[in-house]
Amino acid sequence: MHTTTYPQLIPLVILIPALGAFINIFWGARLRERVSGWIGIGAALISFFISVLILIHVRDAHGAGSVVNPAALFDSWIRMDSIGLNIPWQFRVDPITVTMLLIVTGIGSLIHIYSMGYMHGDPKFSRFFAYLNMFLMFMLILVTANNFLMMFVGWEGVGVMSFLLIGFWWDKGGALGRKNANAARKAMIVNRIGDFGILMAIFLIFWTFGTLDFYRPGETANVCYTAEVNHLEPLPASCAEEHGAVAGEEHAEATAVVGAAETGDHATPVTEGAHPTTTTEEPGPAVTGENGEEVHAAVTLDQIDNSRFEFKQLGVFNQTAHLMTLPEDAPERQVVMGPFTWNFRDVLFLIVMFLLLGVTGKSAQIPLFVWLPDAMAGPTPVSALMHAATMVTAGVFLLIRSNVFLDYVPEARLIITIVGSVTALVAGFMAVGQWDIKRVLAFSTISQLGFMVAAVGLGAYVAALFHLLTHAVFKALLFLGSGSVIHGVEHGHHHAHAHAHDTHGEEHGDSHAAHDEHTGDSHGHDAHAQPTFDPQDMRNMGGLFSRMPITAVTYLIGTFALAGLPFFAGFWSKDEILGDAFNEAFFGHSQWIVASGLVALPLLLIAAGMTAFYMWRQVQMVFFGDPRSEGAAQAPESVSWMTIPLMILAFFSITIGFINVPSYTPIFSGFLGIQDYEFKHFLESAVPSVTAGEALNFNILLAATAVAIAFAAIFVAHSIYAGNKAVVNRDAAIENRNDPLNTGASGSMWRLANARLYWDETYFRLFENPYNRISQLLAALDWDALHDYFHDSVLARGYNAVAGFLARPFDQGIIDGVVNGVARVVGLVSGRVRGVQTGYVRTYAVALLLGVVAVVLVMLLPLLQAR
Amino acid sequence: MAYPVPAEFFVVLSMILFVMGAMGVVLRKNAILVFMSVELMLNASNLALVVFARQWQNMNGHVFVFFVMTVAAAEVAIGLALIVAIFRHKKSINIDDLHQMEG
Amino acid sequence: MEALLFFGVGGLALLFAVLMLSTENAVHSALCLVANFGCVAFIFLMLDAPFLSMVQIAVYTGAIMVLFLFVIMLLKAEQSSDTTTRQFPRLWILATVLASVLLIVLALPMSLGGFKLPELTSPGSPVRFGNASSVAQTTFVINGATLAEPITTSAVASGETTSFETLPAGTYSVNTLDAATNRNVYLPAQEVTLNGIDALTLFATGEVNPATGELVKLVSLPTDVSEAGSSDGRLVVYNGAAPEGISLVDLGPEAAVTTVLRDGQTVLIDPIIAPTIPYQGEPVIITYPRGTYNLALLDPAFNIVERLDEYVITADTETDILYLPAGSGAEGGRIETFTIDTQPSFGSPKGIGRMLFTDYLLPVNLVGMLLLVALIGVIVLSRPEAEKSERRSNVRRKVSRPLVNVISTQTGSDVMAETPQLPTGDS
Repeated sequence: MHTTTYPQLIPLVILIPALGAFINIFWGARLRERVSGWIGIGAALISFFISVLILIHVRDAHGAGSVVNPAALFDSWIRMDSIGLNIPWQFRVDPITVTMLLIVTGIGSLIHIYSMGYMHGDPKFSRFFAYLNMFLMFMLILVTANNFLMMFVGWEGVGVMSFLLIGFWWDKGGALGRKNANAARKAMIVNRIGDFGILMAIFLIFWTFGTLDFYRPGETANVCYTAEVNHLEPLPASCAEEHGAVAGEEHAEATAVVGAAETGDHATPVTEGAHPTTTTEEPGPAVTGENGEEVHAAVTLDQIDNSRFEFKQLGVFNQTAHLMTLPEDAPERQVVMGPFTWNFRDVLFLIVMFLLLGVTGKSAQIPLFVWLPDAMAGPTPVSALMHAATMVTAGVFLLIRSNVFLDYVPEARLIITIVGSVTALVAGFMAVGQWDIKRVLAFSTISQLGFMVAAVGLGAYVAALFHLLTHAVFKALLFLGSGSVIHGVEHGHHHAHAHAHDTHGEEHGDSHAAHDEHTGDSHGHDAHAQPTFDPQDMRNMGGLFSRMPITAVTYLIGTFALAGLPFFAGFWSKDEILGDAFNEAFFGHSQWIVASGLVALPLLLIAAGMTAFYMWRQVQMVFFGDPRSEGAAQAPESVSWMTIPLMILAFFSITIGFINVPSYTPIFSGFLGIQDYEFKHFLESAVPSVTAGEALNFNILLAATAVAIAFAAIFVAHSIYAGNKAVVNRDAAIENRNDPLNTGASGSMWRLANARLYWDETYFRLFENPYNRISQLLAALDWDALHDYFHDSVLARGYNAVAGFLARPFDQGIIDGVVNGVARVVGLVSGRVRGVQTGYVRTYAVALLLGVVAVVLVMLLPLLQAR
Repeated sequence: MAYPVPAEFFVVLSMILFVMGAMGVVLRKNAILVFMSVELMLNASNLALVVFARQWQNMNGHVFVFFVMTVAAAEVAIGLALIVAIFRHKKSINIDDLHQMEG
Repeated sequence: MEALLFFGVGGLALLFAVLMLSTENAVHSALCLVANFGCVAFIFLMLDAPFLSMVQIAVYTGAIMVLFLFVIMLLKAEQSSDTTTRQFPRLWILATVLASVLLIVLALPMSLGGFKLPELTSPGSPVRFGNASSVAQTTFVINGATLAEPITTSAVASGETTSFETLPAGTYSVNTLDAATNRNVYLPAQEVTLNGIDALTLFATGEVNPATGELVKLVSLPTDVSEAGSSDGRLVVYNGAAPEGISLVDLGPEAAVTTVLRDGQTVLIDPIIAPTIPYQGEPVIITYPRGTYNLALLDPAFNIVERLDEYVITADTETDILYLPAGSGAEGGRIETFTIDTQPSFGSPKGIGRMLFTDYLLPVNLVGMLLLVALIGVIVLSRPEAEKSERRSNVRRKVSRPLVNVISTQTGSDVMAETPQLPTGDS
């Protein structure tokens, strides 16, 4: 089938959510909830459908990447010929993109469906869906971008949507609304610091490479892989000799379509501006567009390798690869930065460091993770979508996209590994001490992101992306489950107090939504003197397993996946990362790589253990034991709008891991036609380091170790928190309920964890407070000294004096005099000249005759002169 | 070809008539007489035109005279109508009585 | 004689002009002017402008001066007190000075030319060429001492002529060439002498001799494009084929020769238009009234040599009738006719009318419109005045007030007192 045209649908993927958002913004208030919700869900589902089509296309093309030009209009999105700048708005379709597309649109659709039930009754229902769609649009721009600037558009866009969605309930009364607004602002500002890093990186990239494009149309990302797939013998010299065990599988699966390794569908003619038109792809053989046909022209190496391009015409990644093949002192490798010149490798290091700064902002790594826990003030679907599955993974996606950069600067990778591993550990530590159900999950997210970042630092891009994929699934599941729990507890609270008190004027849905914030106030209960009820506090939960079975079971599945228990999704991905860390630590061939591995391995192992520990703590506190509050005792199961996505996600939590099983797992490999290391092969065309032999091996021993650690952690957690031991003083007032760890030796540690290592307070002391003080001082300086004195006395007085001088003698005297003088002169002269008009016809007749005489004389002048 | 009376004489005659007409315009105070002097001037110019037409054997001169006569007729009609209209107001056709538009 | 007339009539004209200027009575002035116009009309006649003189009398004296007289009588303007007014006592000095100045200025150009107008020189004889031969197309090459290089006419088809070419007086040699082969068809070249004034038409007649390839004779016929008569056409008849001579006769309606025996001699009753035309001699030029006639060429024995039935003679044309050999050894002859329009005589109404309706059509129309406008204007100007409406005392008259007063009444404040003053220096 002709899947070559599928990439042209990419612009729709962005336009349809935009359309949905547009409709919901302008007409959403007039639509019913169902209609508005279905518009949002429909847009997300259509995007998902298109993403599936693109997946089919990429699989058909054996992972060949292509660049899609939406319309000729966008070929010069930003164009300044004077400095040779031309940044087009182009989309990139390759396996990385497809993976992210599926994650974003798939989980996005599920969350849209979930929100239909969750946000029921909220007065700003349609706006929520509009915001969700807009977020989808920006995130898709981010993942489909073909150049750094377009990706930055998406980057900033998701930052803005994060702001809007976290602060969605900014209009709750009093301190509540302000708290939400503060959380939104904090997210925005902290992200901004990261954006500074990205911008610096973009500037440096443009300065160094002259372009911001990832790949130009027609470029091949991974020449060696493409050559292999097309059976080009001999392979280019730059490719590694052995490709590990994967070479065998290559031939096996390459028998299907031989001719068109990359479907070389050349540019379809430009029709109208609205339609995506040209899809220039990597060069294919002469047989174009005939996928799967028997005709195959031989592909030659110079058709697929990038030597056809002028070096400066390549995208940034191939330029990097080319530059690094040149000797150290080659002139192209010197980057001129004003008065001094830097070596290319140093500049690359700097670029990566700046990118890392941006990643720490967006993906909540140390030191810029502080916004993520506070972001839990937003509605739970927002937390699930943005702060678990998609937005926070944008940083990791950026690093994976820039894998070519990272391949050449192992020092930078070491720093990245350190950052990721330390973050994983610290966040895991903090998660143990949290009471709020969503806060635990937030720190868990930070920790898992640390895993991903560490994986990137180790060079295990496939593992990182794989873990991103699996984490998105089960973390979204966990968040949605927690939302369901919160909903249930709150409903139960209502029912419990509805019997006791009749004064309940609020709208049903209003009080629902109000309890999603991390606050102690509850709306509907101001009439009675009762401690404020926080449905998110785990101390109020317990025993929900029997009351909310679907939620509980799916939550458990998510927990197992997160903890990395065997054969759940997280097992495969997390242990791949650990396996790669092990490989690098003990078999790495450069000091940096060894160091990375040595740093990553122990930290990640401990973090994995902590993950299992705090997740089991949470599970015990929430679902087991006896209910600790009325709300928990009467919590109903949630509506099917919410439980069906949970079930779907639970299913995928179990099965999604199987796309990248190693080769010696007999049961799973071959299942449904999925080969082993399927995912890795899928990505291989976009990640050159995979073909170069840096394969990712699954180490069964290490996996067993990790599983053992996880089980041990669960065992320990169970012994501490099982059943009713989860909360001490469980009948006391909520503030007095305590964690069993908060005693004795572990007490101080636990309190540190609870206080989040005083991170926010430290920032306040280090940055915000001095800043406020200085700004106050400057304000005083400005107002009192500058304004009151300088402006009023000096400037105003002086100005008035000058104006007075200019006015009187100058303006009135001279200028007026001149103007009036002219008028007087005119009057005088005209008075004299007036006399010519005597009014007598005779005079005029005489004048006429004199005129005639004069005219005749003038006409005769030449004749007279001739004489 | 040489004519018995050379053309210069006719031209001189035309000139003298023209000057006399011009003097009539200046000297007479009756508006109608001024007008008649203008007609005399026109006639003198017609004469000159005809003389030269014969001299160069070119009929265009005659045509031009034809037009001059026509336009002179139109002008006379209008002019006399104007004089009549003015007379209605001023009861006098002494042109020196008409000096309202003086500066 | 003419000089006498000129001085007499011219002097009369001057006299009448002086009288016109000096008379106090307006009617006398008008009559003097009428007389002046009459003299000028007579001078027009002397100057070969009959039409204009009549128009002068009809339009100027008959219409314009009559109009003047009517208005003078209408306005009772015949009396006037003095010729010069109180306002300008010494006007006559100024007038004299002005008159002399004007006269001198007008006489200047003539003085520069020595008081002699240049003569009209004739540019040359108009010559045209015709093809009455059997050669399909001929061209003519003219060479002469006055020409810088030979003139070659365009190809002339049989029965056609070229347009007139003006050549200065002199002797020329004309070569007749076959336009197709560019070979001379008549040798030696024919000598033609032009006197620089009269027009000439040269016809190529005859046929090409197959043996020698040439035998075309050039016949020159005088051409006179002046008018034959008001309703006559001019005929130029040439005999090129009847050695005994022929005559052109009008046969009358029955188209037969009518002879009568008189005194033992046959006498032709039909009017003879052109009597004996010598063979290859001078052509006979006659004018005949226009009409349709049955003409015939008769030999001296009153036999019809050639007929021209229903022949139309139009006015203002000159027709060259050539009787030429039939050619190709056949018996008899053939007739070729070439017609050209004549020019109207100088100063004739026909000439002026023709020019008015061809070259000057647009000005004529415009002048017509001008007259129409003048007519309308006169009607409008001479309407009686409208009734003066009663001035109502309480009609509010719009008086334009200065803007300042308007502002002050609108705002209720004394604007002039509150005109913002420039700041004195302290805020």
